[in-house]
Amino acid sequence: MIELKNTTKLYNDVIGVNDVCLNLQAGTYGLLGPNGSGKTTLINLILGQLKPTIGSVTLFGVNPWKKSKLLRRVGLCPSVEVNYPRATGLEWVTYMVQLHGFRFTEAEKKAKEALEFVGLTYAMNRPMRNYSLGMRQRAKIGQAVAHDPDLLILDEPFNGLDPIGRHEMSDFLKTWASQGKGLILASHILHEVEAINPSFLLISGGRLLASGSPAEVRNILADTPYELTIRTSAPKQLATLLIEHCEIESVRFTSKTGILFSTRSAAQLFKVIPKLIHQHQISITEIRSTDDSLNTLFSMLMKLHRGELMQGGRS
Amino acid sequence: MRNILQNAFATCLFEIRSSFTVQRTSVSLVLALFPPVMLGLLILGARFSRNGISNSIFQDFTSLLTITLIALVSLLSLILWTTPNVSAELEGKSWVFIASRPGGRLSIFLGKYFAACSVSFGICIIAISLCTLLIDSQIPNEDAGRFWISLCGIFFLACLVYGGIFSLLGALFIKRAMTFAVGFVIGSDIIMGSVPGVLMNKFSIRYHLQEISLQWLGWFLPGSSEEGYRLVFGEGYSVTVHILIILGVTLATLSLGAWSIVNREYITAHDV
Repeated sequence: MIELKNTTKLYNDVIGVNDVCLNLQAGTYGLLGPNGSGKTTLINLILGQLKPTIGSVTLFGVNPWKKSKLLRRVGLCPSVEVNYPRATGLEWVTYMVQLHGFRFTEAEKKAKEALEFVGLTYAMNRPMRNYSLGMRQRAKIGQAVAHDPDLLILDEPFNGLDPIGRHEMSDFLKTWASQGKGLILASHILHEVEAINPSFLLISGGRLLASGSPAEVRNILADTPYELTIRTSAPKQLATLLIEHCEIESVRFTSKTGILFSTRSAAQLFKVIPKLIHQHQISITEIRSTDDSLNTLFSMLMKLHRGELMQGGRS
Repeated sequence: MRNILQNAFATCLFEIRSSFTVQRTSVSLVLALFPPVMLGLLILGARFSRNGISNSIFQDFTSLLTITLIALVSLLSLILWTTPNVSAELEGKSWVFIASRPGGRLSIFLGKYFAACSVSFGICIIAISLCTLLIDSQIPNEDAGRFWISLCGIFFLACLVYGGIFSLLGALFIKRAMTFAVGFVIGSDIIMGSVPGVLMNKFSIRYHLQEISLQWLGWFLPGSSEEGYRLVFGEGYSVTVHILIILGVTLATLSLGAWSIVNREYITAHDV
C-alpha cells in the first residue's frame, strides 16, 4: 500500500523526516510520536503534498507527487481545524466530495451518508461556527470517509475531544478497521491508539525508531521505567509497604504528603496499592502518572538508536 | 478537463457562498457605488461651472471619468479577491483539505479566479449601469445603450486578464502578493503603458484595452485629438487582434499559475 525508500525530507536546514524506510501493506497502523516528531511530514509525503529531498515514496504503487488522481483512494482527516464558519456541515462535506470528481447531487448524497455515519445528521444544516469541537471533528471525519476511500489517514483525531467523544471515535475507528480497509492513525498519545489495536510505527526526531505489533511494543514498554506520584496522609508508611511488596526502583518524597515512585512493574504496583491501603487504612488523595509513558519510551528508543542504551533497557 | 472545470465551478460557488459576509458584501457595495457617487459629485460641481462647456466635451469627460473610476474599483476588487488565492487557504489552514483531493490545487486556483472575475464583473456592471444612467440623465444620448454594452465588454475582458495576472501573482508569491499586484499595475499599466513608444507600451494590458475602448466607443479623450495620439502611440490593430492578445495573456497567466500551484510545495509552520 505504502512504500518509502530511504526517504528524507529537509525544510532548508530543518529535518522533517530522516532516512525512513517503510513498507506497509493494507491494515491498521498507529503512527506514534511526540509533537514535532515528523508525523505530519510523513503523512504529507505519503499524500504527495511534499516531495522527498532524498529517496522515494509510492502510494498504491505510484508516486503520489506526480499522480494526484490516486488521492481519490485516500481520505485525510488532518489535525488542523476546519475554518469555514459560515458554511453548514453538509455544504462543506458536499463541496469536499465534489472535489473528488463527483457531481453535486451524488456528492450531496454521499455527504449525507457520511454525516449519518459519523452521527452528525441532526446538525448538518447548521453553520459550522455553531459546532462544538467534537462536532467539527466528526465533520472532518465525514469529509474524509464520504467518498469511500481505500485508505483513511487521521492526524491527531482525538485532539480536543471529551471522554464521550474519544470513546465514540475509538468505536468508529474500530468499525472502520474491521472493514479491512487501510487506516493510519497518527497520535502522540499511546493508549488512544492502542484501543484500535494497530501495528505501531514509532517516530521521533524524524526517524522511524521502531515498528511492530502491540505485543512487540509492549515488550519494549515493559522495560520502560514508570513514574507515579501518590498523595497520602501517611507517606512514609505507604513507601515502606510498597517497597516491601513491589519492585520499586526509587522513592522520593516530593512534599509532606507526596511521594514519587519509579518502577518497571507498573501493573504490579496498581494491583498492590488498593490492597495495602485497605489493609492499613491509609487514605490516598491523589494518584497521578508523572510521565507520559510514550515520551519515556521515545527517549529510550532514541538512546537505543544512538547506542547509548543496550537492548533490554539497561544503560 | 471536464472534471477540472466541474471542480473549479464547485469551488467558485462555495467560495462566493461562504465569502459573502457582511464585511465583504459591504466592501463590494462600496466599490460598486464609488464610481457613480464620485461621478455624481463631479457632475454636481460641473453644473455650477458649466458655462461654455460643450455637450460633447462634457460627454467625453464623463465617459473618461467613468472608465477611470470603474477601472480603479475593478482592479481593487480583483486584487482583493485573487491575490490571496493560496495564502488565505494556507493561513486559514484549509489548504490541506483541498490539496489532498485529486485536482484540488487546480480547483482552488481556477475556482477562486472564476469567483473573483464574477464578483468583480458584477461590481463593474452595477457601476457601469449607474454611471450610464447618471450621464444619460444629464445629457440624454441615444448611444447610451451602446455605451453600456461596450463598457461591459471592455470590463469583462479587463476582469479576465487582470484576474489571470493577479491569480498568477497569488500563486507565485504567498507573501505580499497584493503588493506585487499593485506594483504590477503601477509599473506595467501606469508607467510602461504611458511610454510614448510604438513597441514598449504594447506590452501593457492598458494599451490593448484602451485601443478596444477607442474603437468601440469612439474618441473620448478630452483635450486631445486622435491624430496627435496616433502620432505618439502609433496605430492600433483591429479589435479582434487586441481581444485575442488579451485572451492569450489570460490563458498564458492562468496556465503558468496552474502549473506553479500544482508543482510547488506549500509548506506551513504546521508541517515543520
